Amino acid sequence: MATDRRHFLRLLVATSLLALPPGAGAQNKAAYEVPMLDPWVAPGTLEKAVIAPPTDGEALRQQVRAKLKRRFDAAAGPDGTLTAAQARSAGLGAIADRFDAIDRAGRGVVRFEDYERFLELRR
Amino acid sequence: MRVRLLAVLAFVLAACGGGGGGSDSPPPPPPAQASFTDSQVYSSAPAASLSAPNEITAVTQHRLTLDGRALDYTATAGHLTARDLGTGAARASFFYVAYTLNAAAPATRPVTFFYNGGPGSATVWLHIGSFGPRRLATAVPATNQPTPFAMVENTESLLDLTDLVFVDAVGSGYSQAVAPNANNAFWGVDDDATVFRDFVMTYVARNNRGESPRFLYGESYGGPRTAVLADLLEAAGSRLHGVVLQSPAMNYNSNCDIGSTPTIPCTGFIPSYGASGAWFNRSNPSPPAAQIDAFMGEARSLALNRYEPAVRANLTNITQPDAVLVNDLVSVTGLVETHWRSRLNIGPGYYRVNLIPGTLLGRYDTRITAPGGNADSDPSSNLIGSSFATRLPEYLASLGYTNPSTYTLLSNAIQTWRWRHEGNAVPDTIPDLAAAIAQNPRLKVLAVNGYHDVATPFFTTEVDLARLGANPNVTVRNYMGGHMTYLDDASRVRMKADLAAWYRSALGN
Repeated sequence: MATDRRHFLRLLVATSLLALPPGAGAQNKAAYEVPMLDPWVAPGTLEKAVIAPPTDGEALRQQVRAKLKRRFDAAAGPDGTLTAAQARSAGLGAIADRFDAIDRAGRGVVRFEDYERFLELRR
Repeated sequence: MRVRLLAVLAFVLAACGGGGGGSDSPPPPPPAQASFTDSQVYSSAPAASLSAPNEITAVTQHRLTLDGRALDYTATAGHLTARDLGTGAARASFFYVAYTLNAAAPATRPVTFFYNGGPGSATVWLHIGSFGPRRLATAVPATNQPTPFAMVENTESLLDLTDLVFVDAVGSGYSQAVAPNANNAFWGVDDDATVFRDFVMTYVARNNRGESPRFLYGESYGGPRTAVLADLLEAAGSRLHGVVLQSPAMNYNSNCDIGSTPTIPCTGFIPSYGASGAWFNRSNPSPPAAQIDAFMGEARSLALNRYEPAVRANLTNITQPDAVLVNDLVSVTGLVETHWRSRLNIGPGYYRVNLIPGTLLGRYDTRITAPGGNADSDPSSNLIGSSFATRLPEYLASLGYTNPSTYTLLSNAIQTWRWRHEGNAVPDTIPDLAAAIAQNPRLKVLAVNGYHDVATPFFTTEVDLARLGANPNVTVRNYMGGHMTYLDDASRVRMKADLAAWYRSALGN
């Protein structure tokens, strides 16, 4: 099927070039006879790639946790704590807006575990 | 539709309503005028960059009658500069058209952001094909309509339920990066979703929609974009009520047609082959549309329980499938036995060429055919493309916005797209959607698919979303039709009814 796509790529490149001049009153009809590629990736993208197996259940939950933790840690100080102001300046509005609810002990700083507990309680 | 071109003097923008936003006041609202000839030339070239973006909008007044009720609305067409969430720096100048109901209270009036996919596609298909106030009458799957198709009042518009914002991705339509960024700075899974986040948050702040229930509606690649974007918006504290995934490609690792990956079984396509075989009376039996749901139940079971294990065995050990399986595949899909014996893992290109020798089935909608046998062509895409291309600039002119540039329906972003995401070579965005749900457990997710779409098959969507586990907030609806189910007149009516019920449920009504 990779060879099937080659002709297609030529078409796409050709039509992109044709579509360049601004101010053309008439639309270039050929450009729109090229089928949309969605979804598609350029040849070679997957040739050496590992296909990710689908995750669910606990594995998916761990992926989500890792993702949220990475974001939290990027905003937190080296000791793993985050203030409301740090959350705000890092763009973590969700944490800044609910900071008092996450900071149940009222320490003025939260750890990822506090945030995680907050999310769990809302499930 | 009655069009009254009025100069709108004030857009009544109260100051930022407080609550959750940053401490900086948003800049003043963009200037509004009844018509705007934008002399800025927009480019979809990878290195293109705007030095002086404008935010002038053409604002016009219109009326749409839905179910006997007159809806007066404002159409706003033009650009908005998306600003970096942290620094406030200009990132990209997004072209959008917003339809807002007049005299509605922003605190309770929902707003939905629509975008197509590609990546690299403008939002032309959703904008004038789906649920806006006017649409192109394609009469799909009929192929006998004169072209370009006519623009008509859309009696299935969602405008009675929500304000609608149709926005073009960077490097498509008239959207372009702002210096020092170039278009291709946003041509990657994460960079694209991040700049969409900046657009949504900028739009919300500038238009005083901080209290409005907010929704996303993404099609095709717009599905994975929605998952990544929803997670980013939730993290930023910009809460969503719901997301609609129209024929989404949620996981590029589960579609055997992406990148021609022979190691992925084509399981998700088998039911769509069945629906297509039935449409052409090649399946045995070939049930009518009214019985398609039951038939698809059988096809799902065949695909998942018997076909997939056989394909895996075939790929690893070159094990030949048993005669009973081959016989059932022939009955369900209509594709004759020699094909299943020659290559068990049959991708959609092969099916489209070989179901009916000499006739090529569409990729986006298999019901639309043309003579021929080259799967690189798509009769369903060819049928509609030039009409959309012709009508969109005309329609924008009727909304008071004109521009000398070519409106880029499809850029070449896909050729150089940065696919890597969360450690995978190509994106699996189910974890992003799961992360959005973890941050907002009330988030509603609705996936809508067409039975006759062999670009993003409905069964793949179902299998992908099933990974989220049992969640009453996640719903899948399938319809007769292709990738753009909304082009089918009967399906669009059903979709409107389902979407109306879904919006009401998401809003707690």
